[in-house]
Amino acid sequence: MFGIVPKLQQYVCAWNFWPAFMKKFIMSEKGPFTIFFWTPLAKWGISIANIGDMRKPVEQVNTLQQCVIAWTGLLFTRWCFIITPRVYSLVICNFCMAQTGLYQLYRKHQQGKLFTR
Amino acid sequence: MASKFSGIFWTWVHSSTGPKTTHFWAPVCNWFFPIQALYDWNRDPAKISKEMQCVLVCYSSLFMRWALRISPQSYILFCMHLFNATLQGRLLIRRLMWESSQQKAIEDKPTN
Repeated sequence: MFGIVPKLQQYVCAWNFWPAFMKKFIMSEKGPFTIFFWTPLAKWGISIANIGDMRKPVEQVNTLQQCVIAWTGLLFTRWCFIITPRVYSLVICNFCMAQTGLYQLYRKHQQGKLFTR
Repeated sequence: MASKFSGIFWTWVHSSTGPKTTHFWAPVCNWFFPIQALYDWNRDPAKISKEMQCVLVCYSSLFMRWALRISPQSYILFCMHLFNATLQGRLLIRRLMWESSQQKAIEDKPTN
C-alpha cells in the first residue's frame, strides 16, 4: 500500500553477507517479506496457544471457542485435500489445530464442565 | 414445463462450489469465530485466555491482508477477518483492563 515493504526487502537483500540461496529466499514470491510466508505461521500460532493453554485450569477454557477451532480445523483439513495445489503443510497445520481443540474439549468433559461458561 | 429442480438456485445447489461441497462450508465456518466473540460479549474477564486472544487478533490481521493479496481477492473473507480482529481484540482489552485493575487492587490494599 505505501510501498515500504518492497523497499525494506531491497534494502535487506542488498547486504553483502547473504549467500545466494538466502537472497533467492528473501526475494521469492512467498518469502519473508510477503504475507504468504506469515499466514501459515499465524495458523500454527493458534495450535501453539492452545497447547500452552493446556496447563491452565479448565474454567479458563472457552468451550465455544474450542468447538469453533476444532470444527474449522477439521473442515479446512478436508478443504486442503480438494483444492489445487494440495499443500500438505497446511493439512498438518489444520489437523493439529483441530486436535488441540478436541483435546481441550475432552479436558472440559472429563471434569464435567463442558457446558459451563 | 420446467423441472422443479432447475433454475439459478438449484443450479447453484448442485454446482461444484455449492452447499453440498466443502468449498462452500469451509469459508462459512470461518464466520463462527466472530460469532463466538459476539456470544462471549460479556464473558467474565478472569476466564479469557490472553494468549489465545493475542493469537486470534494477529491471525485475523494477517489474513485480512492475505484476503486482498490472493487472486481473486475475497472481500467477504476480508470483512470476516476484520470483524474477528475487532471483536477478539475487544475481549483481549477486557482481559488486560481486568488484570490491570487486579494489580491496582493489590497495590492499593492497605498493609497492616
